[in-house]
Amino acid sequence: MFARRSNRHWLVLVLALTLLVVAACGGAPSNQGSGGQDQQAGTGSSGQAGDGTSQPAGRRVLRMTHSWPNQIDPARGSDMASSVSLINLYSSLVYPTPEGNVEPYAAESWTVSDDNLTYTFQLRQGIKFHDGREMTAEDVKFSFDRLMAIGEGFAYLFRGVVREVTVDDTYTVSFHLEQPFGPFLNILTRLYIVNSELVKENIKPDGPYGEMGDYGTEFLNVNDAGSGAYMVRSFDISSELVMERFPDFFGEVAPNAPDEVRIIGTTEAATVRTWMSNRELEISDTWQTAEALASLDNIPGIDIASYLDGGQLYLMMHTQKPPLDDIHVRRAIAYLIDYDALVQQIFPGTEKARGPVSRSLVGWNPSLPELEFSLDKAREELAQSRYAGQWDQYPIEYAWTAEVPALEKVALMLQANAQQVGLTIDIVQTPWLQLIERAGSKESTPHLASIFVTPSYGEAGSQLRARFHSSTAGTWEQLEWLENAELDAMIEDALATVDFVERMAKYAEVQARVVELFPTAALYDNVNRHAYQACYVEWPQLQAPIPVLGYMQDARFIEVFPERVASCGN
Amino acid sequence: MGMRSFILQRLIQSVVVLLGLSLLIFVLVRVAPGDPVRAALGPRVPQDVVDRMRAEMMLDEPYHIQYIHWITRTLQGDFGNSLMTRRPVAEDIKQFLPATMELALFAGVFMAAFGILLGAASAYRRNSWLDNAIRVLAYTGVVTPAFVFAVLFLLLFGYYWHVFPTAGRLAQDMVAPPTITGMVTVDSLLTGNWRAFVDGLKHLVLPAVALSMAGLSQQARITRASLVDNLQKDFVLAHRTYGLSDRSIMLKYALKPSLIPTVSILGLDFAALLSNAFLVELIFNWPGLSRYGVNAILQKDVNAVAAVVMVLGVTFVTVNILVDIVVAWLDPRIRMRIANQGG
Amino acid sequence: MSSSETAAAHDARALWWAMKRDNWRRMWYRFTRNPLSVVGLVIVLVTGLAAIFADYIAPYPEHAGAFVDFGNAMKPPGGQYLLGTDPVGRDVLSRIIYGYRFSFGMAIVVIALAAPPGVILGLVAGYYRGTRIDSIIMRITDIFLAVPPLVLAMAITAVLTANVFNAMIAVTLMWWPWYTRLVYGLASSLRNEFYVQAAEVMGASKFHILFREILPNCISSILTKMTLDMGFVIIIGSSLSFVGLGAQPPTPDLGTMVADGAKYMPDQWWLTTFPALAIVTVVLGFNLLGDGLRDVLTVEEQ
Repeated sequence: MFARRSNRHWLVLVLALTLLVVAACGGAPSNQGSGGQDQQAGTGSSGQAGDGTSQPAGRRVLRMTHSWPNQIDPARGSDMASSVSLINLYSSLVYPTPEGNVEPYAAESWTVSDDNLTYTFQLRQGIKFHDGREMTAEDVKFSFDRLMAIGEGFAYLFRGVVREVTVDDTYTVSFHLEQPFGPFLNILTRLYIVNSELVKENIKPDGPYGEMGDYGTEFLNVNDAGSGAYMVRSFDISSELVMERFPDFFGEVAPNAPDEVRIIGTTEAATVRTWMSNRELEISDTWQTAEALASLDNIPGIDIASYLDGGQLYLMMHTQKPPLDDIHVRRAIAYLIDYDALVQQIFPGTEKARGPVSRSLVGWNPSLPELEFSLDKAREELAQSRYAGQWDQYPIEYAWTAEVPALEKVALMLQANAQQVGLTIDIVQTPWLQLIERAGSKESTPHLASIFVTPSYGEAGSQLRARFHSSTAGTWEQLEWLENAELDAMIEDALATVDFVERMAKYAEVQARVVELFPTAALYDNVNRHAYQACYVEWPQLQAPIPVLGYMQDARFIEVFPERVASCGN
Repeated sequence: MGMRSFILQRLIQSVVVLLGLSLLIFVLVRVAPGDPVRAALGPRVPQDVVDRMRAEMMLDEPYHIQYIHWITRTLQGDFGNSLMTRRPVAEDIKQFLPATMELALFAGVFMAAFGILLGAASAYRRNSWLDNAIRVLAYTGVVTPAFVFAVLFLLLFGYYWHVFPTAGRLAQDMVAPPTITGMVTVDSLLTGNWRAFVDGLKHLVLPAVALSMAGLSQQARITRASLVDNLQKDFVLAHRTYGLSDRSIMLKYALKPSLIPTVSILGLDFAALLSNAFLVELIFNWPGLSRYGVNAILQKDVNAVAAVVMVLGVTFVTVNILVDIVVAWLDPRIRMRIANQGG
Repeated sequence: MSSSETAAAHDARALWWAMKRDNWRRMWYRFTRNPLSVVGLVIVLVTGLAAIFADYIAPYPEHAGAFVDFGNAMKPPGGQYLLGTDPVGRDVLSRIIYGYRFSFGMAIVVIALAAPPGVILGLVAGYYRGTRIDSIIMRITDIFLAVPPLVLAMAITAVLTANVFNAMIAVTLMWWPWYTRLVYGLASSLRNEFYVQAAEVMGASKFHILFREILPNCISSILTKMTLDMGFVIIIGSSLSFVGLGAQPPTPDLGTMVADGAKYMPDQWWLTTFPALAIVTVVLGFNLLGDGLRDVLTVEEQ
């Protein structure tokens, strides 16, 4: 009696509580279905749980995921998320072209002095910052000085290149160079111009930059002071940047360009997948695995965008650490990689490399050979090595960065093939930051590491200097420790050559010389792959990719057609 | 010794413990190998910029000076600047803590309510199918890591069935309610924004349930065990023979004493909850303090790591004191002991 | 010392052993009465043996290390590969079996390192309850208990660079206080027992009192905790691996497998599901076994 009655009580209670929770939370999707007509909150229905009406009525929204953090201060940001944000929020004097050149942007025209040391720019008049103030030469100088004083972000591009910036009159500004620098206009695409008045108003006096206080870093950390096509509406530093169209933008904007651009800080596969299938995300990040992209591709209306990003995946080999100080060993290791498997299975969509520079960069040398996979040739090379027969005394350490899961496959493949020719390769998963630290000294740099290097500007010289000039030895961009004075001179000479054709010819020579020295195996020309909503997003940059980080996602050229969402299929 | 001095003594002990914790975490983050500033600024930034920032953070001073400086500023609520977000850590915490509090609160209430309810139901209907089902459930909850629950929920409810959203706190196009407490559900209720409330709640469900499973199961098991024990005690049997109704016996005489072990283990369960939040927030992209903490740990953001650990320590110690007080209030024996003895 | 005394001692010892044997038999009987405990024991034995004899049991032992076979990558469960293959073509089942080896190894090392100092400190603090020694030891213990163990373990591992060894150190550092706390409670009540007081009166050494009088009476609780902890250390270890702070590839580790597999969700579900089930199973085994032991041992004490 006792037990039976109470049992029912408890059952009812448990059921009621369960129902309550389910009703409060799970019951909501049924509300949501009718949410389309429900204009209560003015923004149309919410749709995380899949009702297909994801684009808010009357607004074109472009949502892109990226890896985080995102630094939107032009004196601090330089990675992909930051570059995309900066490009949309700010303008620069010149804008990169798909051909590897530049075209006028905030600058209308420019002249170069005979000694190639002074570049004088004429600013376009009437450019408005987001607060309505007009851009002047003073802003350009302020932006440059600020970038150099803070020294982060893209400042490294200008160090040792530009001596000084002077204001000639309201709309004229001159850059005085230390020595002739061929790709100067290319690096100028990375000088994003800030509104000097607005920044000065928001300077906190207590800061490390002398009379400039904090130089407005606290302000620009979460706000913008730009003149770009978009301006910050809200920035949640941990997860999302929301930007909206700036109506008085001076430049070209596509007719159906988004009214609102969101950069969302996640690369989590299941989340991206869910959002994509619900049409709540227009362009995915580039960190999705090949498998994830393949399944996204199967969703109707979603395509995979893929373009050469100018970078390569390198197998960097420490040229000063035994046994890799022997070129035969380095060549042998290059023979241990199955390049077909690499570009077809591990990184589908990428292309086999020819030489240490991506084919998408101007100045690439097309006459260099592809690397090949051959265990026999690897054995031959090893036999010629002065370390032959003592391999067990020279275990080779291979560091791969955990941030890119597919790199583990490369590591495992190399390790397995090395075993067959008698080499021992220890693979070590290394967090990216730790690898940067380890690169700092010859002793701590691992024998081998696979690292992506993307050029800072769209010309072979960017990559050649970053990868093989002695000044970058000890950084993550050069784990080879090449330190070859002859090659340094060749690179410096090429970069100082202002004539375009001549400079390109010199780049080709440098590449040939690098292949002779064989410090590195360029594994493939990297391709950035995004899943995107092809059925309602038009992405014209894909037709003529710009191999400079971030410019593919300049939102003002991308068009969004919410009205087509319904016909995307399901 | 009365209740007041008992609390006072617990407080003093806690301060000592927290000072010790601060020393431990300081040693951990400061004496660690590698230059966190270089790591944060990236490899392309020149050395003089790195040096300037090291000087700003006082990283080149002797350790004892650094510690004294750090602890004095920490006591004033200034944790220094974060290397990740490039702003005061205190601001980060102000931003991220409410999200974690909301999650922990929801998970905590869910855990306690369902844990006790299931445990009581199980005990009451001992050896029935219901009891067995609950016990199996409780066992599963205890032995399954939180990240497995999280991944499983994400897959089932988020991906296959589209029942719940799986990332963040609000739908993308949902306008967040004005910040009052920082907790979306509370703020939206306060401002009468029913849609945001429902949406916020929907976002809470999966992470909160994944987070509470371990504690919930523990609670259910302990409640069941002690209730079974108490239901067989003489005084309950006596009441039953007096003809009192089952429910009043249950509530009045059996449940209250049975809750003592349940409550005393609440502190531990809360620790498990905070611990698991580190994984669950990561998986559900929940913009809370724990996700911030994980990223800080992975990126060696020294000031942020120290601050997060200290905030957790203070929270945890406070919860434990509260639990002690509640247990003392529930359990007359402990109250007596406090009154009688000095230690 | 007369011979009769020796004989009596001998008899006593024989009797003691007989009782002990009898005890064991009774305990075993009681243990087997609870089917759940037996299930736990079976799970622990099966997974443990699989871990030890992985080389003979795993269908593809070479898949535990560096091995690639892109031709067979991402094969769904069934056929040649019972639980499917991973992105480089390695057999998931084989890797789970080797993953057990690693999980067991970690759990054993951590408990073996954490329990002895924890127990000793707990004994000392409990015995000297109310003195300065007690408060010093217990405050230090409290410091380690003031933050959730996973959090500090993560911080320690990250600071020391992530690898298996450091993960073990970190978890060990977080684990000893729980033994201290357990033994502290037991010891501080046991010290009032008559046989402890008798030993004190007879002038036995502190060492004798702590390790011969008090410790043996804590053993059953400690053993139970150790059994249960095997499961919990496996959970913590896999959680560390899940965020990338544990075992490094190609070492097969269940937590890493779940985390890596999650990147291929939901299409390649087997990459996550089976390792997750494997963790749950072994932890369940240790829990059932631990609970069974507790029931048997505590009843025995009463």
